[in-house]
Amino acid sequence: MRDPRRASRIVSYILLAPIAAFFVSPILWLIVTPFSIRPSLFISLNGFTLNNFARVFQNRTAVNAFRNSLIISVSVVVLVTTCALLAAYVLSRQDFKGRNVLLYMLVLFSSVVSGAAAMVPIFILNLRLGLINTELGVILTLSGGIMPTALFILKDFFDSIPRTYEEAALVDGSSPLQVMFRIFLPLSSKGVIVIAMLVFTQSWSNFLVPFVLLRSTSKYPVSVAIYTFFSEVGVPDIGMISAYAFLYTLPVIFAYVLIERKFGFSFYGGIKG
Amino acid sequence: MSWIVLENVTKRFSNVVAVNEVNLQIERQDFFTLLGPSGCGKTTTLRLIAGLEFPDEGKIYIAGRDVTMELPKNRNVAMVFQNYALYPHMTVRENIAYPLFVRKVPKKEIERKVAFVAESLQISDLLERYPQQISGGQQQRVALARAVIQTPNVFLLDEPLSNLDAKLRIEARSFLKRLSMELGTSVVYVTHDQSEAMALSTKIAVMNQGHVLQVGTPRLIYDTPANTFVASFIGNPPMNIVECRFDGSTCVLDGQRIDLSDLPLSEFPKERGFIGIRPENIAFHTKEGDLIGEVYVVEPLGFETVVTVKVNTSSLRVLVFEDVPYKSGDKIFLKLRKDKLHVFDESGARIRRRDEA
Repeated sequence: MRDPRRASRIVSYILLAPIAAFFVSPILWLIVTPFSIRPSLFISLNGFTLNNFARVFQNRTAVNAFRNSLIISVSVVVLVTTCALLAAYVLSRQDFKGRNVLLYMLVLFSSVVSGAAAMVPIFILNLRLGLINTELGVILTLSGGIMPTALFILKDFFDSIPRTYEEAALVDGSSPLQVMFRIFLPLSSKGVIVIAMLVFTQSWSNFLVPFVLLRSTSKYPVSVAIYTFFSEVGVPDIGMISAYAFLYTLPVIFAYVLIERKFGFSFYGGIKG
Repeated sequence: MSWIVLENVTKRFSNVVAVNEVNLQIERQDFFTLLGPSGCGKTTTLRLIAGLEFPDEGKIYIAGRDVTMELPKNRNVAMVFQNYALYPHMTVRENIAYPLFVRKVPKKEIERKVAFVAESLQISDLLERYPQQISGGQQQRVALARAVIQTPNVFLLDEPLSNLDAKLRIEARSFLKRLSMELGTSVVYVTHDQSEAMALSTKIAVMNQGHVLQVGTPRLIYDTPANTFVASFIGNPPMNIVECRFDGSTCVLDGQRIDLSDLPLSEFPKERGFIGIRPENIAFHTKEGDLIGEVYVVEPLGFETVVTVKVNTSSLRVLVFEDVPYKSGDKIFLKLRKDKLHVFDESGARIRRRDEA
């Protein structure tokens, strides 16, 4: 007997195929092109080579940029995660006056004012503070941009952890600090790790902020350094760009896989087993 | 001084008064139950004793010490939560050991005590599992173990049976009663289930809307409820309470007159009032009785039968311990046991008998 759902399934495949192709082909290009002898904008592997990678590693700016990116991203992760953790804990557990107003102001301003629109004032702010062309300026600006999102997700996650665990720990004789370190942090570690990862990918991939705030090539992170691989007349060196982009995406994918493996993305839900 | 004393304790949440000038004295050997409908302030009272909430007014003493503003860890109390609150990132062993661990008890002693407590609560073979991997009944035992391993001044139990299914609940109830006798210190127990309260307690405090309405032994509360609320809250099926008009010592219920002049009451209500009688204190009669009514429904429950009888506009429940030959619509006489009949005044307060202490 024919499955009556077959027709609709075929139709949906036909509709979905181009959409899938749209998303898959850039990734395919990124995997194939760096290893190609004659790299082009088409997905075609004509002879295998590692020459493109060799050229990247010989380029001082390119290698430096990885170090810069790492410094910036790790600093942002540490700063944002720590601050968001402490702030979200208070916002989730203490009911003080004006808490909700504060929260909604944060949402409003962080979502209404997009990064690009705020670029000029941010530039002026950094200029006045003497932070132009410093990593610190980039770190602080990126942190400020990501903080509200991180804070919200973390607060929501904390809200989902029942308070009774902390109360039980208090009655069991813990001091408030013991409750924090023995009960609350272990319970929320997954959420914190997810946030740290999110912050990492965001700051790792951000182009605009370092592009606007940094002047000297030696300080560029990867996202900006990739723009130096154009010849004087503006012709892109596709071999180097693709090899570099390939290396650039590796840490993010690696982080994802590692954390997926280690923690999975399941949170502790309710209490009943 | 009693072991635990609450003195004029009031707790407000923004505009709501959760606990209103509550006074309680709990003795060391008491199994003390706070009983009331949801939202009556019983859990808040428990949390005040635990130190999870602080009172707005009043004082709390535990073991002769004023602990009103002390943190929970300085009160030496143990609590079992309604949902057990077993730490999901710790094994059963670590859960049970936690109260001793944070008090920096030597490792050797913790091990010895965990083994002993686990043995006596029959959870020794679960020690290496995580709370999510054991059943509800087992979780409850682990939560009890975590409380029992401490030597607290008082055990606080917040509806510990309500998450169990009906059959397990009866089992756990007997187990809890047995356990409480061995604990050697007072237990404060919160429940909304009157049968649990009756079965377990040495003393019950009935609460409603933040007030304590009556404190006493289960027997006292069952036999002489302070008012219509307590009367209708305790007992299953609940006490029949019907409004009626008083004409001297005669009660007029929908036109039918009941002579109550034999009752040794200190006084009778002036005009309006209530009479209350438990379903087991009404008997059927075919020829004569205090009231005449019409059988509305008959509910046979095996051992007992509950018959609802309409007396004009009011309805009365009758509990008999044999099968009844009646069916809906039958006219029937009701005989009330006058010595078990309660009279409440217009405000709902019970009128005392002269022979009561």
